[in-house]
Amino acid sequence: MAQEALDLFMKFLEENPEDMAAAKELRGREIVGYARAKGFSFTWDELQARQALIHMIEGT
Amino acid sequence: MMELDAQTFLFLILSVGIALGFEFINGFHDTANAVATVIYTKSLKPRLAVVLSGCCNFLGVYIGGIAVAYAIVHLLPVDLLVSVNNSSGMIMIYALLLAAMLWNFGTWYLGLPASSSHTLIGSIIGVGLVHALIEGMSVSTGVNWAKAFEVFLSLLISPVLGFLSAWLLLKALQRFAPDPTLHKAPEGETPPPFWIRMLLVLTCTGVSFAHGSNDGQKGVGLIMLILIGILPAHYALNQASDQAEINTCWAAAANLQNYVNTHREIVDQAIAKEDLSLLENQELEFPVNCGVQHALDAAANIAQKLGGLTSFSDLKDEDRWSVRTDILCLADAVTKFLKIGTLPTQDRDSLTTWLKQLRSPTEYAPDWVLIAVATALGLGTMIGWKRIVVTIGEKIGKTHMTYAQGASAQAVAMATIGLADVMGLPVSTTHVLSSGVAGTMAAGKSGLQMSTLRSIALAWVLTLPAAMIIAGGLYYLFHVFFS
Repeated sequence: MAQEALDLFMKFLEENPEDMAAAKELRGREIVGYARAKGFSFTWDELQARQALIHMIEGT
Repeated sequence: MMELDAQTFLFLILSVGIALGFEFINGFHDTANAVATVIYTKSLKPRLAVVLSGCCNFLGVYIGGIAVAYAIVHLLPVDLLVSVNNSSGMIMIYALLLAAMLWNFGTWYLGLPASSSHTLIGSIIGVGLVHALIEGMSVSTGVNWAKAFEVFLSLLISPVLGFLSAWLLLKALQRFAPDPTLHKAPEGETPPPFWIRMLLVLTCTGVSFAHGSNDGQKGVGLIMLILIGILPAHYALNQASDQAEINTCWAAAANLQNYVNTHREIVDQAIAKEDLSLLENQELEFPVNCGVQHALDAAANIAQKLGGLTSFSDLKDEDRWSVRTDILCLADAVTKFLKIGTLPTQDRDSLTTWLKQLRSPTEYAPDWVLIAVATALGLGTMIGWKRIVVTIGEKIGKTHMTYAQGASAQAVAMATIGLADVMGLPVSTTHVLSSGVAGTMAAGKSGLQMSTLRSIALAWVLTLPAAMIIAGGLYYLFHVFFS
């Protein structure tokens, strides 16, 4: 359920601005741990893959 | 075996190191392009994907040819190319390499859209223009504008071609391969069905290979300029050429000598189009000016020096350099003949063939250069994945891609870049792939990716001028302090 969990985590962050602000301060793998503590399970590789996909789509 | 003094050796290591640094940064800048799809779709584990991509980049450089390498080199005016062994020539190469590396690294670090191709081409134009201004020449002579126009056209058309082809391919897949599995985004932990997985792995491999063959060659061309500048006696001509290759070059020069002798009207038309102010300026820092009127002398010199020669190593050091200079000058004159609109087709075909044969000993890359560039690019690609910085934001929660979209965009990028390689044209791998993705999104009715269009536009309005300014500024500083 990795990519779906990532979507749900992002939805959670959008609905909770304080958590969003906290997550933005985190680096790399810390985000994965933070999400897990909130009940969302995905790996660092899966999070990186989604970021890489954004780079690819946007040409950055 | 060459013997080098310590200073030359250190200079050589530093110079080649800078060029390899450019390729390494290019590799990790473009990692996402190569592996994002296969990792996102769980077709491959990240470690395997980046190693496979790195190896394919390596192979792409090694067996992808050198036509693109010399398309980049020929953006520089021929007067620089025949003077690359003096200080102005060398600082020009350093300025453009450092500028390209700084901009590539800076845009990666700041997460700004950038294209390595636009960066490199902007840098070349920047140093060419500043050089022309310093020398009091017309800016029209600072860059080989005819080649620059060809390159710009390639950079402009390739994303459009990528967009349209990917749009068409996805539409065709929707019609002829309507399997719903293919047209959905990855779900859950399991990888896609075997055939989709193979399709994605194959197209990822192709994109990595194509990236190596096009982007790697840009570094190969610049390293060759550095080698020719620092060790002209050894690298001016391809010393691995056999007697047959030397004979072919000699025959081309003899044919051109005969052509120039018997077609004065063509020569006169080419001379009439030349910038004579450059040729009449005797105080230029670059000691050699190639004018069309010298074509006959150049052809005669080549024919005389190469007649009966079995190996370039039999020539004296200074003769190797003068043969290279004559080849480049004669080739430049032939290029000017080819621009004459009234040139008969038969003449055009003959001149094109002779031009290729003539240039052959000067357009080469030793195996060790290919391997070094391939290794730098491959390692950059492998390490780049580790350096992807996650930026939490709303985009992460809204970005998805179906298997068909990923495969279509990658297949189109692979084919477009491969076609550019065959035609000897540099393209932006990033732009071709991202516009391909945008094409699939438009075909899949996911909306047009405005961010992609913005990125491509930024490369033209930001990267190109920025690289020109940085490279031109560095060249001016180096000129003041070191020339």
